[in-house]
Amino acid sequence: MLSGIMLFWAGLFLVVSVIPSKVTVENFRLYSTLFPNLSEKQKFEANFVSIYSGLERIDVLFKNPNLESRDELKIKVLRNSGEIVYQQDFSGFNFGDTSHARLDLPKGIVKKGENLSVVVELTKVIDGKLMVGTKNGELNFIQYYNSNTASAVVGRMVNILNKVVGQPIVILLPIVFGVMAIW
Amino acid sequence: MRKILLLAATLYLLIAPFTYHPDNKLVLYYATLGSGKVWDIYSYLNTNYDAAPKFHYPPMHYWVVKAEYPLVRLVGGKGIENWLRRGANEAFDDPNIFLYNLATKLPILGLVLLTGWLIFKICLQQGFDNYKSKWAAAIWLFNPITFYSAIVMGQNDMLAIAPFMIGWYLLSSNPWVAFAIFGLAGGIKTYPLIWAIYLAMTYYKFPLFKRILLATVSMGIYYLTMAPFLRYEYFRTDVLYSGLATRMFEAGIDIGLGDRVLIVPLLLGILLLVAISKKIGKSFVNTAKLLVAVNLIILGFIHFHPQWFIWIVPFLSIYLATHKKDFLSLWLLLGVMIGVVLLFDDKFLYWGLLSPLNNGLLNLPLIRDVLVAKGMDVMLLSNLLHTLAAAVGGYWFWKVLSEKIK
Repeated sequence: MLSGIMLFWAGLFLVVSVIPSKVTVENFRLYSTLFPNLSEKQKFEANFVSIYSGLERIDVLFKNPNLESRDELKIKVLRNSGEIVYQQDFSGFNFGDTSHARLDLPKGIVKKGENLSVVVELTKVIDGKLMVGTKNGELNFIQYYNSNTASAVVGRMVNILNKVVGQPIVILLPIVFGVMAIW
Repeated sequence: MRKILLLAATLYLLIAPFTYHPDNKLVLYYATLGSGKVWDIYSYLNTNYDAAPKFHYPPMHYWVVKAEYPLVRLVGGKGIENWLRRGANEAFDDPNIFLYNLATKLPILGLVLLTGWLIFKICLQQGFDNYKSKWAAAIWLFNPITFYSAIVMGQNDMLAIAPFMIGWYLLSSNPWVAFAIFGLAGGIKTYPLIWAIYLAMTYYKFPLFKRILLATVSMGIYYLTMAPFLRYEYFRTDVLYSGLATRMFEAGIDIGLGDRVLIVPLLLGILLLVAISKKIGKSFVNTAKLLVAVNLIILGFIHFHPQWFIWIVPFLSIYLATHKKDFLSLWLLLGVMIGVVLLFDDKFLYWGLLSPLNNGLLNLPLIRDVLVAKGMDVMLLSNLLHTLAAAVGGYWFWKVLSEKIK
């Protein structure tokens, strides 16, 4: 019975871990989002470390109230050395009344553990109405990692097992009931 | 029976901690409002700002959730209160998520097991042999609809189903008490009140006048649980006129000048008259069949949530224990439920359920979006599934209608 329970869990954890999916990472996720005008500071940025391999996409949050703004801007992803990893131009036309600017990075350009920054620069003020999302005073953006590598799957399995070990009641209860069912 | 229940409990405990649905968390969050001292949730939510949606269930539902909260708090520990406050889209990545899932679902799991035991006892009481009674309980305990709705999602339908089954168990010895309990169950979620009306009007041991009194007991208690709130506009809006309560009156046939014949009440009315005239209540199995038909008529003609299929299962289990050829209905309903789940515009009905194990699953696209991108007509597919549910409902409607007069 005990081995059956363990096999059930191992199977469930493995199946769920290998389902191809993207991992998202967002700094200060639990903080509330504020939207200062981009024209106030002209430049917003945030630093981050690529905690997995396979960084594929970065979504930066903007707000274009009533879809009126036509302000122009540039978004850059930089290495610590100042080297540009990727950059893209946008204008208010690209944004809804709260929507993301999407940067799809070339495959494999960012390695795991790199120190990077995302910079939003206002390049032409047309009306000064475009707002940018911030959390805890930093530019708000979401990192998307392709998490389908073998190491990512193993990482997810280890994460699940750590959580299970940290909450032993979720193991003990079914084992106790399973043993009682056999007796 | 003990072994069957223990085996079911083992399976439930293997699955419940690792699956998550925000509804289960949200309902318990209401119990924590105002430091747990709120008893009139409707007034509280209409006079205080709270980001949570309004509470659309009757007051008894809220009080029952408040009653179960101490157990949830005991198992989950002090951190669970903060976790209940977290947003639905992020709560699944908590380091203690397995413990919190277990804590919030534990009362539901207990009620599923209790219902299984009650089905066994009711079947024995009504003359089933031991094997068939166990078989009925096993169908309830181990079928995929029960697993999906109660164990994986932790839906609160069990809070109403379990007391209804207690009432049914007491029906033959204490009918007045049973119908009082049906009224309380209806106060938690309204549909047991519909079942109670059918049980009352087909209760063959009483003359018609007394049957009406039985139904009145249930409706009276249902009314009493809500009476203190009825004068408040916000209560009427949030509960009585909410989308959940009025769905039964949506499908209709236009008869001109703005008048409509409402399909669900029409079919339920026919079923009731046929059940009375054919003395369906004389047979336990036929009563179970009638209640399956009642539920299927409702679900077949409303915009249902897939997890509501659990309403049918206690009665279907009893019927299937003696009529194995009708298992086809269960498989068809399961197919409809899975189809509707996969076409729903809500990732938490499928990908999100496993999000505690793999947070990234919520980044997968909606299946309906994938199908639309491939040029499929998702609305047509969804309508076909609803039609199939209505067809199964029609089949059970016919089964009741074609019953020989006793």
